[in-house]
Amino acid sequence: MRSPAAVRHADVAITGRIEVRDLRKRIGDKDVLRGVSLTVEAAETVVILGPSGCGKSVLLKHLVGLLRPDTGEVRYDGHSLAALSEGAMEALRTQIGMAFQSSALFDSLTVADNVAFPLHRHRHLEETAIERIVAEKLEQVGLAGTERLMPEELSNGMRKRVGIARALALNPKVIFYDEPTAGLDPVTARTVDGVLKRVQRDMHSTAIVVTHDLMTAFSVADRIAVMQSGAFVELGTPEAIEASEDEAVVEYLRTGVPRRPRDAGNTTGPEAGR
Amino acid sequence: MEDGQRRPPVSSQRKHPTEVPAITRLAASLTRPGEKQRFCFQGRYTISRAAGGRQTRGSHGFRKVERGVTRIKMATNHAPRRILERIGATTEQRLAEVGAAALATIDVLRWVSRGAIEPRQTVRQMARAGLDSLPIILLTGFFSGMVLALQTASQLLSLGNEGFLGGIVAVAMAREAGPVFAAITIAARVGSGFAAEISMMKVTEQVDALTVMAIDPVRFLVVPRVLALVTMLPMLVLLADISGMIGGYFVGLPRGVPGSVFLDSVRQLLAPHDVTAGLIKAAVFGLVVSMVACYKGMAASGGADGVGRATTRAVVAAIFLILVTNYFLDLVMF
Repeated sequence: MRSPAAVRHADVAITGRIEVRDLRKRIGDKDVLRGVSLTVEAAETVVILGPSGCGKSVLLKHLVGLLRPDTGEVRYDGHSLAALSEGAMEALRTQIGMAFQSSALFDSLTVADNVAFPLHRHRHLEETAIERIVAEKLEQVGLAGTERLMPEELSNGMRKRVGIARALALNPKVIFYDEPTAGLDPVTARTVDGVLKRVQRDMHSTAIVVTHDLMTAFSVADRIAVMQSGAFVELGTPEAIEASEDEAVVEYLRTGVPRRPRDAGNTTGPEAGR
Repeated sequence: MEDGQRRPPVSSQRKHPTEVPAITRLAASLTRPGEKQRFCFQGRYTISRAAGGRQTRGSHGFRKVERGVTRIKMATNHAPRRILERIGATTEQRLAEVGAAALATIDVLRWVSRGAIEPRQTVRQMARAGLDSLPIILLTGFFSGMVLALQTASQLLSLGNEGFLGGIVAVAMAREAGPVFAAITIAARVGSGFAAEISMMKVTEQVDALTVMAIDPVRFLVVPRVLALVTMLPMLVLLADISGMIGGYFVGLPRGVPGSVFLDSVRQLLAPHDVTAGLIKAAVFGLVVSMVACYKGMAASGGADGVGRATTRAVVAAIFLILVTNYFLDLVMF
């Protein structure tokens, strides 16, 4: 482990292993995170599953350094976020990508410019090289040929996928997805699931998916963490979660979506994505 | 009272409404049922004691009375405390905001001093804030100049001093009317735009997206806007000054102030310092308007509602701060 002294820019190269230790956060008079610990191995896909307001989005914001915990820490390959200098934090962030719940596309830029945005900022490349990467990333999320469209011309599901393409632009080692299927109709949601699986297969990056959608969870996860009221109540493989006898987990699985979510996710997900 | 028994101490009672402060509960335990207790800080409470589930009506409205339970309800007579509390809370909040805004300003200056300027963004904002505002600024200046001339001309004519009209209009425009009116117009036109745009980006997570993409939102969004207004507002003010003088010139003509007399008086009375001081004020107002607008935008939360609130607050705060800063700048400079 590193000393807490500020880590400099050049030192930060990550493989995608993330350690979260006893994260606690109080916002207003509510304990939003009550001691969350989690270790995610490189190239692993972990889904954080839970009902709205359980603290999963806040947890995600802690993982990318948008919020600072009251206690506890987040480490990327041993680099504690709290100990990183401004430059090192920047270097780390060019190795992670995040797809936002509201997709967070820049309204004034075309789809291509949105995806190219991080490339323009962080890679000194020829315009043609950037165009090639943009086309490749859009292809990866099933939106080839949409370069010239404006975000307002896209459907919700397409916006989410452009958001994912933008998150992938710098070939990140870790990708965070915040509610990738929230607000989408079931068919489009399965398409997005397919995109997620495909990206995981192609990129071999670590993925942390925050969702309340059981189908997404069971179709993409290597491991699932079920979260409730700011803490994990269960953490394990999809099989283990399904077999869990924890009351909260059973309740969530029972009420979330009709039964057999895994089968449904496995059969429709990838096909819909192609 | 049931069967004339003494009331058991409060601690043994089953429950209290949670909103009742401890001191009041203590006071309640010392109060006999049915008595009214007055507290200077806590307002008035009526303590009622169960008697067969009746509802009793006190002087402060209904008290719900259950068997075996003492219910204490806050009477409405605590307005003074609320007002003080509110003043205190608001002051504290405002001070915290001023502190945060000051820190944000330092952050902006830090980026500027490092030369971390986004040329494309800055030029774009300069065009939007400067060029696009030109017509309205010229009109504002023109009419302010005309009104100044109109008001002073009648006074001067009655004293036979119409020769001073040009100078008076010019000095008033350069020192006060030009910078203040232009800044207020810009606060309403450009400041509101900044606040709306940034708050919209904030509530749709675009600001977070910038951060996660390793692009500092202050550097990318705030610095260009601040630079744009700090540089463009003085230029706009200079044009507003000229436009105001032209307005004054035309008001003077039909009132017996010939053009040459008007211009001579401008030359005699208007000192370079009047103009430069006005332009310095304009630059400061540019900083105030852009910082307030961007700060309010960045602090926005919620949805469309939050955007609306941020925008309104930004404009109101900016106009207020323009007038306050104007006073202190005048103290220093004139």
